[in-house]
Amino acid sequence: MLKDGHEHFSDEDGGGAVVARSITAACELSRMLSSSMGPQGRNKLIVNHLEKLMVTSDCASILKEIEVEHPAAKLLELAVQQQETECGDGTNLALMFAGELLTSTLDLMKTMGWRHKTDIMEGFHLASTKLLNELLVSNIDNTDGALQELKEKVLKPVLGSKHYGSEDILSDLVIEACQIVLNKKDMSVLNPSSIRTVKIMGGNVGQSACVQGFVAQRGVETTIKASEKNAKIAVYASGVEASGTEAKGTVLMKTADDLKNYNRTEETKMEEIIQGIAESGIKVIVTGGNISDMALHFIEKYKLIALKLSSKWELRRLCQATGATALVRLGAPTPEEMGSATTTQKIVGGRTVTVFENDVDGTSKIATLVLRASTSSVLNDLERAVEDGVHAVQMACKDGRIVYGGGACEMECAVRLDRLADQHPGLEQYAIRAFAKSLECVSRTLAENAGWDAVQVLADMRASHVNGQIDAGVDIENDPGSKGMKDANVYDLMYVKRSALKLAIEAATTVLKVDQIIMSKRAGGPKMPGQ
Amino acid sequence: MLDANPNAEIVSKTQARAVNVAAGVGLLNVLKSNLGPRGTLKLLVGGAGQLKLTKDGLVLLKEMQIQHPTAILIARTATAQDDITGDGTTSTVLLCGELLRQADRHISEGVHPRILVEGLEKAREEALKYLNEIKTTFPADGEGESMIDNRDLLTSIALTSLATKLDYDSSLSLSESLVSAVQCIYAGADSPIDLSRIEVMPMSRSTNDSRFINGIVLDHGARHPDMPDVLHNCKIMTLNCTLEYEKTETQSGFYYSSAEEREKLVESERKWLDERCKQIIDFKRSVCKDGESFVIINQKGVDPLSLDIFAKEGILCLRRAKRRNMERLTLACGGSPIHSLQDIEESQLGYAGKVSQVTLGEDKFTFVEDCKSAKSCTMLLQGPNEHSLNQAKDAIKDGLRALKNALEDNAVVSGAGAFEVATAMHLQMNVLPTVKGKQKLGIQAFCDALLIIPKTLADNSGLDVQDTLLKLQDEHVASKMLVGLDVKTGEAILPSDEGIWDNVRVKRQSLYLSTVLASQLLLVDEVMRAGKQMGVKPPMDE
Repeated sequence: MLKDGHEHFSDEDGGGAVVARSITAACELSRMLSSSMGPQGRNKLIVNHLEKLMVTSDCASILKEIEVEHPAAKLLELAVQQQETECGDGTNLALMFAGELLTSTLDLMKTMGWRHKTDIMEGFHLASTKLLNELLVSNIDNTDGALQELKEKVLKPVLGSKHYGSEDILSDLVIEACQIVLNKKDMSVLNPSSIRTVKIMGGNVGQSACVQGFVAQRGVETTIKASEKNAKIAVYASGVEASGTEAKGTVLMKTADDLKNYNRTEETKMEEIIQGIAESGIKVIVTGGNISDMALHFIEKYKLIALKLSSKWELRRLCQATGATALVRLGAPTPEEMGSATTTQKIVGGRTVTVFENDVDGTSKIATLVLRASTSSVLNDLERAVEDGVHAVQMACKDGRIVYGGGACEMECAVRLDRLADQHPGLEQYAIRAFAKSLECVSRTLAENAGWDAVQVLADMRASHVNGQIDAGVDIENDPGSKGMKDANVYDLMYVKRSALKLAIEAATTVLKVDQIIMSKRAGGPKMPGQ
Repeated sequence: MLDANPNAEIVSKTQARAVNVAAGVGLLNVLKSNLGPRGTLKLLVGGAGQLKLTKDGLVLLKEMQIQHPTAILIARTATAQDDITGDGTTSTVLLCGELLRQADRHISEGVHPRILVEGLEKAREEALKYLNEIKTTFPADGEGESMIDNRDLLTSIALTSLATKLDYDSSLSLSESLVSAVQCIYAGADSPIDLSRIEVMPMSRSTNDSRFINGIVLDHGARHPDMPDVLHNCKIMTLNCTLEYEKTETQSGFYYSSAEEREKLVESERKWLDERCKQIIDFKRSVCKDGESFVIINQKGVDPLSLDIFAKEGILCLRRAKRRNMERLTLACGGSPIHSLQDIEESQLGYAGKVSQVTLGEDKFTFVEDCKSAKSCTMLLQGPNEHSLNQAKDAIKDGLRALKNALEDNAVVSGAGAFEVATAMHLQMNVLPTVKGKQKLGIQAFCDALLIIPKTLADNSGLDVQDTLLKLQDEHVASKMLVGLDVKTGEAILPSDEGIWDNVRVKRQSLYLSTVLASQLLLVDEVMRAGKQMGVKPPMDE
């Protein structure tokens, strides 16, 4: 009935062929990534379609590169992407839980028969509302929201799971950066884009630093390389060159004198402008456009520093860091339009950078982290770790409620859901139990990745939880078994966890609801990169 | 094979009917599982790998690339159903397929299709008459509580439509917003309801919090970093006036011989624009009192220098707004579009309680909210990913149409299969005895076909089809009321109590279209495919 090239999978015979196929595809994906979960998770080496190499354990980055084909698996990928944009972390949790939920549904359907799909979905719905609205919230441990405490409790586990071993150094840096940019009046808002990272190859992680201000990854144009402390800065969105008319302009010359004079008038005009700028107290000129040779000459003459920044966004950030306003017309700025910072050109690891340091308290709205590492892949990994860390702080500022990490929270919820299942009449109880079982996947994977006997660890933990020790989690370092996460200071943000679980449940139930997949023929032509 | 055209394919007589019936039933089987609130989803994968999740019959028919000629015919007709009423596509396809199947049984026993079709048409007439009898009508304007003020009723109408397209929780919250939106644009019983005044604005966010906004949401923001993000008590200037340099139509140029002269020319070039900006700023100062702010929304361009001037004055200025939005803005905020800066008056300005800019990733949105007596409004859709947004968008379109239909009909009819059960029963008990001859068979076929709707509802809910149907029929006979199916429990309910309402015109159209279509297909005795052979493309296309 349909056009050639169509593929059509359906459930018409009631055998659940489509759901089974989708589940297999989705589980393949989540199983593949589960070994990257947690601090002891292994890295993956990915070669993408541009032959670019990448070593990472970050779930969202891996998914981005491997180009998922199967539509059901793609639904899971979308959930992960959403988690990444929303929280910046917890991506692996979302993927793994969705996969685990689907696997247990498959088992459940095999034993219960396909007819009871609606009951299973109903059970999942019950369990997930209970989990998201009651259990997670009842599990929280309070914080007073102080940054130092956050650092110990939340930031370190996040950084540790991305770049195990460097979490102490990185967490110090991230906290320092956050302190710079955090609004002193309203602590709940942290804009992650105001913390920049600059990656410079060479050295090691320990040499990374946090700058209160902005770091441009290029040198200055002038011979003077460093300004005095808190020098005044003028920022121009336009180029520092002679202005032109919108309509076509032609220089009209009748005699040779005209030619000579014309150049002279240009020069005097430019000198006038630069002189005006210099006299207003400006020491540093930053432009988003070009600096003409003539302008540069006068800039040198008046002993100013000039820098070109080609990106509009960089320019905007510099303005935020120094408190300057980007001017659209060339000319001396008013005092309010000026920014101030200590400008120095430095050579770090063979790269020339210009550092704008604004240590006047509270005026810099930008903090820059200079990251150092020996190879570009480590550097990229560090950058991702820092990004996740900043996101974690952002989330913590927004919603400071935390739960025990290390699989403790999930196990506690699983135990409680089991109790709910025992009390629930009807077929839904099987689904609730399966749901609870799926939650255990977090602890199991953590234990597996740490090299312990997962079954043993799980049994230990479950016993502790049933006996009322709600903070029992996987001990990945010392010995196989569980320990109190309260003493180990391993916490997770409730908000992140909730969002990850919610997205995972949504994705999984969507996969289950689909009873037909209709695929049209792949459009011809070469594939667009980045799709 | 014809001698006249040896390439033509011909299928005739019994075979032709078999082909048509097979296509109708085939389409029925594809769409069957989607009907009703408990129907399942279909996942469509496009040529470039893009995903689309849907339950909507129309979307499915449009997106599936159907090739069978009869199936195309049915699909097109069902699309016509949507064009006219906005809903009921799945039921039309279902009804049509089932009519074909029932009729086929009779025809294979030797009944002539023509006689059968007469019976079908007779039955349709009676069914439509019955529909008019049992629909629930509401007092017209001015007599008692009219429909537009009956919020509960409108909400349940919207919910009935939405619940078949989305999951229950999100349709619950959406239906409330839809009713607010329709109440907002309703301009009395005499003027038509213009749904294009409701803007549907999708936003990618993890929350499923979709809401009604009393105002307009624009999908772009100010292009200047220093412009304010939130303004209260705003005067809105809807401008259609260029604020950037425009080239002359003739070839033109400047001649200068010194840098000063050039500077002067640069300045004079700007002068015209600077004056315009100054004019606007003067105007702003004259109309804005303390605590009031000024927002310019320009359909034409505004250059960076002018933006800078406005930013210094604390004005929020948006450039290159869509024409469609300009019309909506004046409807929402009041005022009128300003095409020339000469003689601007305060009455030309609109008002909004709050104007704010929201940045989501790389996209910016501008909310113009809290308008006074707005005649246009926005449904803000938020969903975690594109496919769920699209799903919601299609659903909202249908929900709005359902409300519009109900208001225009000023009547609704019980849903949940109640109408079909009752009509089938009515035809069987009251109409069938009055008809003589073979026409009876057509009417019988029509009765049986109608029951496909409650049957499918039951099947999709995992209930026993025969049991449920008999239960409904018994209950209907016993109570003499319109009895529908509760898809959760499988018990009989009164849809009028539960607030399950369908549109009268959707039912009417669906009965009409499906009968016409089925009759046409039954009367076909030859399918000919002539001309160029399908599947072999002319070499030019390669």
